[in-house]
Amino acid sequence: MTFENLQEQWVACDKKLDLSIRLNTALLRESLVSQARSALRWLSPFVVAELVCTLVVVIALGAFIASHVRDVAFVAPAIVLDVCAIGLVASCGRQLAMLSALDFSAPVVDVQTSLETLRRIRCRTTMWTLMLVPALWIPLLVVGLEGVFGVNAYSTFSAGWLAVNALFGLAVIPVMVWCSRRYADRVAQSPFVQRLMDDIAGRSLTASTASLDQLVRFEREEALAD
Amino acid sequence: MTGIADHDRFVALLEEHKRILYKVANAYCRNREDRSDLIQNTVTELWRSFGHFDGRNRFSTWMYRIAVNVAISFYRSENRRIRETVSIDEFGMDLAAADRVMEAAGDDVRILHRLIGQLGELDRALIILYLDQHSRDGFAGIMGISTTNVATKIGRIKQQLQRDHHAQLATLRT
Repeated sequence: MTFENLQEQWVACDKKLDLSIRLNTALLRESLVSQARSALRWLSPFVVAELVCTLVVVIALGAFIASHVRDVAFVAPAIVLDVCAIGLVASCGRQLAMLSALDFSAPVVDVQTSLETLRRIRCRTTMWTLMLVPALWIPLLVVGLEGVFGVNAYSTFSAGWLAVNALFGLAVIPVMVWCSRRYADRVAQSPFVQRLMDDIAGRSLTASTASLDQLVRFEREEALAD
Repeated sequence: MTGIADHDRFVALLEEHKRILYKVANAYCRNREDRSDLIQNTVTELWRSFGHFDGRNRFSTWMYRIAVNVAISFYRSENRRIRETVSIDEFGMDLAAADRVMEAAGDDVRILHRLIGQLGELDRALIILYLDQHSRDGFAGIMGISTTNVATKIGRIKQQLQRDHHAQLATLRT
């Protein structure tokens, strides 16, 4: 049997499909009016919320820096935190721009490349955020205590304690990555936790890179088959 | 009035090309629940984009682009297990009858369908378009690759499917 014979049978089946599929046009019309939510657009409100929260943090840190401008011990950690927050704002902005430009009626390779690039940006952002939080917890402590409670962390805790905890925070990062790679399959009970652990371990980024490579190969001209 | 006319036009066009929804969903989803979710998402995206449909391409070409993009995204997405609250029956499409047609289609079509399900997401889209008898220019435009690239890829996929189809049919008959 040739492929052309298979195609003829496929087309014959197609005609029967056309007759069998019933579309309730009245219900369909109603559902269009109610603006059914697409599972593919879940990301936009999430990124907007992330952007708004991070902007609030950037503004608060800016105010803190301005009010402590002569005190390097407080300005330095606040600037470190602000740079990270601004990086997050930039990432959210780029993601929102890509999401608003997403047009599913564009050619498949173009749309899938955009989606994978977006996914890559999200993976990188999540990975860096999760990895930097332990490293930045001392600057967070110093700025948070002073900014929110008016408590001077340098007076409350010894320099040695702060230094040890800062180093501990840095040491936690490779441990976190190792645990994510080693124990993700056993510990993750939900897709959300699984995804977080994949992000920390870099698996999501690797998968996204592989998908982008696949798209590039697909677009490339193949050598003519013999 | 404009809104109602758009709804009517959209629904009429969807009615005319409804089998595209089922065929694409059937190629990318193994079970009926996933097919239902995918069809719902596809119709939602079609409606979202309908305002930008300018008629330069055929509606079926435009619809295929969106359906394939949604299907591949759905297939890759971790969220494909999240169920929407509206069931497919309320949404207006009866999949059971279509599934019965596929089940009654005979060994050749069923095997071919199974083999297509084993292809990569992008090759799957190409072969569905080929079987639906789109022109090479048509589906090069849908996929966003050159006509030459389409020809060589289709040649490769056909050879592979024919080989695998013979092998599976031989296994079935022994």
